[in-house]
Amino acid sequence: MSDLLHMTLASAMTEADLARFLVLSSLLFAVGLCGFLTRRNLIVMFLCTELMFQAAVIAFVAFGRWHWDFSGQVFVIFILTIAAAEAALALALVVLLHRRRNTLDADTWTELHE
Amino acid sequence: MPGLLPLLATGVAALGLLLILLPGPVAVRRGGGLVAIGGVVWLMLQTGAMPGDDAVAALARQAAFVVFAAMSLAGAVQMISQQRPVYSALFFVLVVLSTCGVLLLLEAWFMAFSVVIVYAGAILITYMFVLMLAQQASDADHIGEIPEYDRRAHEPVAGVIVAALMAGGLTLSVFTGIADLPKPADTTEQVNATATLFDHLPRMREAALAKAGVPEGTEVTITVIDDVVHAVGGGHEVIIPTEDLPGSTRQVGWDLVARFPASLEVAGVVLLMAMFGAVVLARRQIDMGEDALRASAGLDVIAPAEDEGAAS
Repeated sequence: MSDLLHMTLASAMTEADLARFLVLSSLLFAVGLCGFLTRRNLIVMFLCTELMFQAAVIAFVAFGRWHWDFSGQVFVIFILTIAAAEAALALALVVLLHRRRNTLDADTWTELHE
Repeated sequence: MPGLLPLLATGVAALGLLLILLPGPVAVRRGGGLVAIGGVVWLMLQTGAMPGDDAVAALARQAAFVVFAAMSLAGAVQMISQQRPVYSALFFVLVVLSTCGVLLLLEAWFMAFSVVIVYAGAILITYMFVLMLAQQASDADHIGEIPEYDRRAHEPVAGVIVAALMAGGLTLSVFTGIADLPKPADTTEQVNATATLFDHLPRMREAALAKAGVPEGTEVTITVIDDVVHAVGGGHEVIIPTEDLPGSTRQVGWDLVARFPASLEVAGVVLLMAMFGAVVLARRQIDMGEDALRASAGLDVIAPAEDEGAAS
């Protein structure tokens, strides 16, 4: 059973396999993008960027498996690093903005674009 | 035309997402959920029709993939359509966990578990802390009330159109471009790469040779014969079994330190800088006058006359 559940060392990925992972990745990315555009809560907007990171992770690992090149997974480690750094900085900024206006609504900051 | 059907399926899924996001009765939103699921299933079925998938051995893998993919997409849609941000964060945990299932199917064991630890463990806890901090009601009458900006989606039509264009473009390039990719690494290439790495890891090599019954000190060379790793030399010819060869975790570790050492250092610096930045940003800022600052540092307060003199 365990042999059925994962590709063994000695198997190449088929095109159908890769396509499936990539389609999942692009759909997750699109949902994350949609959330980023439609939500106005600053924290949820940042959560949506994390969702897009997850989509990228799937694509990187799938391509790495396809080429049997582990730099795909190494790149995922760097994505995790950047995501952690981004979460720390972005959330610190959100806390700062929340303290100023006492709301998480992104629309309260529209005057910034003028 | 090969790309038309995937585009249609993406459009159906986007229509379902739009129905979920538009303000309307619950029945319409549920129907939208069904439409979105139908579109995604249609899209996934089309990937099954691509050439080169031998049915029986891949079936269990496909079933597991479908379960994980459905979980992660449903979690993602719930995440962006939930009104309460805390539920959004919890559904994101569901997305992360099912993504890890997908990574396990790709044999990325280390990545799967480190994503759980870093995302579901560390990053999500940070988000939860900030959510709890920011969700305090402004006064006692509004406890538990969802603010207006969380209740209604902002420009749902435009958002879904942009997302559908993005998904359509990406899936279209997957369906049309996948044939132009270089061929996947076949068995021989994979075994050769593993054998090369195995030859570079002295401790692992020694242990495997001792286990295979080669006396210590025998000069052996690692060769690949018929896609099986052999150790040949000194009158011995033994097969190194798969479980004694480096697995995907060891290969990732090797790549990380041998191919990208500088990037690893830079990643450490980025984390350190982010930590400093977060501390500086989130510190409670108290506006102090120049005199108060000098007093807190134990210096004498500058007389106003002296100040003017210094400025001129």
